[in-house]
Amino acid sequence: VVENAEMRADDHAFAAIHSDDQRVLDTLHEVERFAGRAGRRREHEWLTELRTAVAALERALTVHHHHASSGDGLLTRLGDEGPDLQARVTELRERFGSVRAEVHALARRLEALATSRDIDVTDLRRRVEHTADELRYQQAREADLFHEARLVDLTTAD
Amino acid sequence: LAVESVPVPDSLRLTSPERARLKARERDHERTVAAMYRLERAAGAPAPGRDDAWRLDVVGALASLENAVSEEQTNANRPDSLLSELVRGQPRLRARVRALRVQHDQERQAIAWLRREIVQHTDGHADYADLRRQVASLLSGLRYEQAREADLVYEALVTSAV
Repeated sequence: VVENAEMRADDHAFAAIHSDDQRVLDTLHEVERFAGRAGRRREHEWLTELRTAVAALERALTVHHHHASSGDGLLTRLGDEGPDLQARVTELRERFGSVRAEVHALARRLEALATSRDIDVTDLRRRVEHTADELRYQQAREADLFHEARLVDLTTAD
Repeated sequence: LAVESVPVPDSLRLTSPERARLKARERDHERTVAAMYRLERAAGAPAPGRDDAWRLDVVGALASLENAVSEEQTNANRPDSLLSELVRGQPRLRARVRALRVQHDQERQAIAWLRREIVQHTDGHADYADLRRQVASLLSGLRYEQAREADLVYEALVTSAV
């Protein structure tokens, strides 16, 4: 009965993290979509659209962070399972923290440019691309980690 | 369609053929974006312990992307495409459009090359961190070109209306 309860809790935690990841990915796609829209000769409209999309991504990352760092979150529970996993969880959290900081800095930069006449569309797209790359990379590493942990669980259960 | 990559201002009065060409271009663009998302999903899926399945998914997604980019390219090269029409109406754009077409072709070749690379090296463990890096770089190049094209089309439409 205890094992079943634990498995249900695991499934619930997996579903929660999957839903958070999907929301982050959806909002990231919106950021990329607006960054890739025609920007020259409509710089301010372009910037306004991008700001809205980046703000949504920032919110999605905050929710992801909140769930990932909560006491009963999947990452926390994985970290409790041994020093190797703990090290990987800690590193992953740090890297996600850096991405969140990058997104926050980008949001502030876009805000600062709102009244500027000097909006460098190409440079901002480059910055978006860099941040998006890093975010996707960390998401893939997170997926690897969860999958590996699940494999170990299944093997142990056998 | 989702948000168009080239927004048309209300003040711009496009003719029916112009609207049709723009819509056709957006459809091609959307198909490519959908294939890019598929590749992104495949590359971002868990890899350790399921190397073969992971590699197979990435190869399949690369093949889809290659098809989508190839179709987009073929359509964009047609004499009645939006790009061809823009060059006819504004010959000064010829060099920029040519550069875009060359870049498109290079992107398509890069996709085909990566797909072949993965297919030919099926022995042993996949270096998925490296392959993810290559996929990211490929998608980044595509996004850059898509944005450049959107800029060019928008600028051309606005200029032609002045």
